[in-house]
Amino acid sequence: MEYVVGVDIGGTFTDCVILDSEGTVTLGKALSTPEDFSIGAVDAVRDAARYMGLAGEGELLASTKFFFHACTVADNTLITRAGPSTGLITTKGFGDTLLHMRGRTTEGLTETEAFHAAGQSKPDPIVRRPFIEEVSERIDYKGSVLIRLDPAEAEQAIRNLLAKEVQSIGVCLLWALSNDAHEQTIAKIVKEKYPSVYLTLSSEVAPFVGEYERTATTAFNAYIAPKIAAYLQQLGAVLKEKGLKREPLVMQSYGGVLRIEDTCKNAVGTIESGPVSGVIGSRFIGERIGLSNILATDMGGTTFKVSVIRNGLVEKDYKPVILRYQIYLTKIWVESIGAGGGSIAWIDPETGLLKVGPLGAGAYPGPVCYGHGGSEITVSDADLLLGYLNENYFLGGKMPLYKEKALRVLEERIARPMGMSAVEAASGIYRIINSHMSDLIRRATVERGYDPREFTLFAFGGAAPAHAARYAAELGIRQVIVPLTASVHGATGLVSSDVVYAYGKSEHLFVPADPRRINSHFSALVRKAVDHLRAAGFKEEEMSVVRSVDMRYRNQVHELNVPLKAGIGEVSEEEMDEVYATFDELYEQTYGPGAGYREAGKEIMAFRVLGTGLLERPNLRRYPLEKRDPASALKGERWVYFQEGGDFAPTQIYDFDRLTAGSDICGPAVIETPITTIVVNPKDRAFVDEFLNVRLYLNGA
Amino acid sequence: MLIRNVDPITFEVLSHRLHQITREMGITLERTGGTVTTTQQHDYNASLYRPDGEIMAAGETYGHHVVCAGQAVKRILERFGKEEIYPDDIFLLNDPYLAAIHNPDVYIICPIHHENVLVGWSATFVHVSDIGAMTPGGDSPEATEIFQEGIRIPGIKLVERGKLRRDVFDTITHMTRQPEAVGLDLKCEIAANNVAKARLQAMYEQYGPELMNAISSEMIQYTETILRNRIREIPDGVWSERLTIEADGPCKLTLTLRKEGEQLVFDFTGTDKQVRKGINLPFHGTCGFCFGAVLYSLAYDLPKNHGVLRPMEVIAPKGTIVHVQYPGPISMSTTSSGFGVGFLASSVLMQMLATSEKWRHEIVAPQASHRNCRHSGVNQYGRYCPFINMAHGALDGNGARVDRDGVDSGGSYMSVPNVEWMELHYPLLYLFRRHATDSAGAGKFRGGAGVESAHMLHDAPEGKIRGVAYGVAGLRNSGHGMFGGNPGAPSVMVLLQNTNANSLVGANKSPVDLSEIGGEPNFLPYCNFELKQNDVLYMRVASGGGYGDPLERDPERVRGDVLTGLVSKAAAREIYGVVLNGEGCQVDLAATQAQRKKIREEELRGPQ
Repeated sequence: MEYVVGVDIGGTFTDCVILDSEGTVTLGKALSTPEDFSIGAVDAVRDAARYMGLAGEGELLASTKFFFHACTVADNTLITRAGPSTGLITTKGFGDTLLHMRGRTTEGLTETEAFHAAGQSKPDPIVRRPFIEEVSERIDYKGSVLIRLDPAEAEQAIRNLLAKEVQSIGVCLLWALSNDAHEQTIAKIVKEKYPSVYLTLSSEVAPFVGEYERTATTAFNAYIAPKIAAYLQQLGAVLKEKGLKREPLVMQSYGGVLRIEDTCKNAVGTIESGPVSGVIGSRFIGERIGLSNILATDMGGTTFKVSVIRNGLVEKDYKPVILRYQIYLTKIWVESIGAGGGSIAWIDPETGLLKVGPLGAGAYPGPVCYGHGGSEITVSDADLLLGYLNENYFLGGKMPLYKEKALRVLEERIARPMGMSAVEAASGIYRIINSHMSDLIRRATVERGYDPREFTLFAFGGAAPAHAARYAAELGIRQVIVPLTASVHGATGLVSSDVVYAYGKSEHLFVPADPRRINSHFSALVRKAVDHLRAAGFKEEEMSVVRSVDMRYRNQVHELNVPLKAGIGEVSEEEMDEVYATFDELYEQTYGPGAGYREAGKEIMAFRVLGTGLLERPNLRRYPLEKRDPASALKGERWVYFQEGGDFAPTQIYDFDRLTAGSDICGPAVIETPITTIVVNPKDRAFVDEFLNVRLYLNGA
Repeated sequence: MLIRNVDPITFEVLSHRLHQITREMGITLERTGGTVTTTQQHDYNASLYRPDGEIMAAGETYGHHVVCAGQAVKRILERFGKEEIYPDDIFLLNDPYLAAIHNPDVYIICPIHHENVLVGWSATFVHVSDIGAMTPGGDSPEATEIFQEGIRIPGIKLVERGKLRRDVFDTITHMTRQPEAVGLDLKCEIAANNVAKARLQAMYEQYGPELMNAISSEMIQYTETILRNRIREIPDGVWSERLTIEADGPCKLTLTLRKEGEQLVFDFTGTDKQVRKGINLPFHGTCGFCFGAVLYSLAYDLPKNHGVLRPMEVIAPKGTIVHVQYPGPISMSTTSSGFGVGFLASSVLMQMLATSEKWRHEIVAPQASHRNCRHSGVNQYGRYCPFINMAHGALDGNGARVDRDGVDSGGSYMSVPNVEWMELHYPLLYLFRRHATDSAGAGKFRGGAGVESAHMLHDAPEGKIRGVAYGVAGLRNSGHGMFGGNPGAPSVMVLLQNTNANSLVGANKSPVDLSEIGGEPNFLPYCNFELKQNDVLYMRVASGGGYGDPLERDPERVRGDVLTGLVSKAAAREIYGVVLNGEGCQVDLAATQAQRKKIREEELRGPQ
């Protein structure tokens, strides 16, 4: 037997998914171990091995074909500012670029925060000003050297930083994307004389126009890289010692995996790679069941995340906001808000209006009903009081919930001051949080020119299956799927990913652009991707290379990414004409009919290549569909609130573990699994498919 | 309970949704606009209005245009009458004597119908690339009357029953210096209004006209009620402020705020007569800037709508700079008298907030800022273009707060493009862009540091480009201190002619030191100028004013500022009375105490 292993390290838990050659899925879970994450990773594998009846993790790892991994080391390092002392070298006269952040810094803030004049702030700088050195040099937009860099001055700058005990240095010089000679001069000095220092060049990690975003990317990489390298090398060594034969592959934020060595070169690429794995998992499950338009939604304790898969392709973001900084990073697009089971309900003291979130109660003490001393009513408390959650079967009964406590606090803090009954207050909380989530999905679809009714919604995370049918119905979505692996979703994505190298390069060209320039960029980028794929052991027929350009109308700031037809050959003028026409189409599709304006002229801003080394897709086991009466899975009946009747009604409760493929349940009903609770509303129907996913058909669909 | 006719949960859900619509309009403008002010500076409007032009939902944009676009809706209603306003029409208006603030700010106004009944409006504006005025880009320092300031349209159908009127569209773009760029600007506005219409119609479809109409009037009522409650809690009083703008001579703006009960009266009586230079402001603009000041201080967390205007009254005598009469010129009004009014309104409000224990934490030292220039000429690709020098025009430092420093290069509500973005498109080379040392207003909490930058020609085919200097010209055009805090360094624009910058570059030296760059300095007032080979344009934008006595500042904070280069060692000693020793700049506490005592004594003695 051979195995494919996926290990996804989250803030609290480390999840593990094992697929054997027959497609049987085994899950493992362990607590994450921030002091050394590799311990939790091995624990999770051991947990799964135990379920499988194996002697230990060694036996499993020795027969593992692929070991995929996603970690939060980058995110943790940034959030807790736990990186090493880091320095930055910039062009003289521009050392403050990272601190300016181009002025207004409301990205990543809520509207009220953004408009609160007295509350404005910038985030703590990743590199503080005394650790930023400037060197005399200047290159212009064409890449011509105007002022030569004096190597002696460069070395002095490096020495000044080393005197401050800097362990990692980032270099971002103006227009290094057009000519990297000066950055290379600095690199040469560092490599020859100070080889122990981690070095990041902007021309390597972010060769794109725009010095603020490029500097921020460089600084982030410099700050993260030593931690990522240390961690991954440690993990690699531990796994090898335990018998793993091939080195682990690490998830990147654009949704593919890379070897440890390649990951370390571009550490910034691991930012938010955990949530990204979840999106890849959605695509994988979609492929299996024949769906190509998917809204992947994840509702956990504190955040609600949405991402879009359209025509089987994941949506990407090329300038994401990370901790309020804008960086150049190809990342799968995930939009999030503060909404989850732990979101706190409160009454605005001034207006008397009921609000929910964005603050959350956290994991501890958490909701009132956890009984850990939480005193704020949360969405989970409302879910419990409405009858959706089972006080005796939360997390499969591992944790009792305290209904009376929740009711008492709800009455005191919300219902009585609002002049409402407890049930009105609880259903109000439920409705408001659902509308926040449907607003975010609307943003992710309608605002981008997509009709949400053409999508199937996936519900992940502990809290989503109790809410998904409502926030989906609000948008006219007709089908919700709760996948079997919903609780270890990121790890599922890992086992279904490919090896992907993503490269890009800025050059500003007016349309129609000289095909020689286009081909010269593409051939360089393609060569880089293919070489790396080959080095990673892929044969030509196992590779797929996709080329694209970032385009806009002249003088605009925002670009659209336009793909070229498949292939890696020379691009002809005719092919480019098609690309330009596709841009006009994409533009009107995104911004509405009549929005395009060809007369303005077009320009190309960047070239991109995505080189994929195709890995074998694991199987998922299919179960025969049987038409069986679900009554055998009935575990009881309780009073559950549904807004249609405006009251509680006796409702049948089913045990998921006793349902079989083909089971069909008409709402109203509740299906309980050991990890989550699925609410089936009165006009909806639940169906267990051949992969044991629960599909909800809404409003008689 | 503040909400009467709608259940509070539906209210919360729908008001949130309306706001999302304005947000989406704004994003559409930013993504599809062709002018840097739209795409990078958030200088646009994206709002929804009730059928009569009252503000239903203001977007996350400048407050003054929210009011003026509502005025534009009313003008369209008057001009066309409901019978000539059809579903899927879109109107254009830019006449400052009717509703706009200056001609380049083109309003696009879209009626929204549900089942053939007019249920609301959306409106946007962007500052278009050119408007056919005597000076490229619109701001015309030499104009003496409105007729020199570009095309002026009182209301015209740009789209009729869903069909773009190509004749009108081409006529308008044809009268500008940059038809393609202006075309893109108009297109982005149409796109944003189409978004608003589709979304609002979908809401009417889903929730029905009765509930929707009730929601918008409840929202206004709600904001008004809360705002009145907030005002009532603050002690009654009278506060005043003045500002001088240097046009051809000094022009005085004065404002008195009278707060009585739950009413705020902004009275500009005493402001100088209008002048024959385009710094005059239309009355609706004056109201708009006052609205903005109230919005950002007392109402930033409320639904942004007409309710904010209701407790406000604005008095501005006709024929003054803040209530211009036809045909006075207005082209530079937004960034001169407009920002001046914004400063005055914000200053009197801050004084008012200081009297309230509950509200004083909302104080931000006010700012009379903004100086910038717009260039025009042939770029390195041989194309003629007017463009705004936004690479630094908005990196001003923000005012100090009661318990915190102002944000360095906080840029108010603006952001700036990258230097590389500017150099890619225009024939310029930037020499530096950095926080200006000792620019921040000192205080117990200091203002935010502003930015200084310099640029010169690079690859300019004609060896020169034009420039026009605008903004608030005057010595107090920066952050103002409060309660003992110092003002920020003034905002200046200096043309250095015949400098050594190119020779320095030739000699492989970075031209970052003004004393090395040299040249003959010319301080630029409102004027046209030329930037030629070997000239350098130096600009320093405003810095924030300080809050409280600099001698009360924690010496460790002063040390931190010295280490980051925001404060010089000399200023630390002279202004903050902090003595720092050695390489590590350790605070010498005893010497600091002595120095602070000495400064106090000198202050008491007064100037000798």
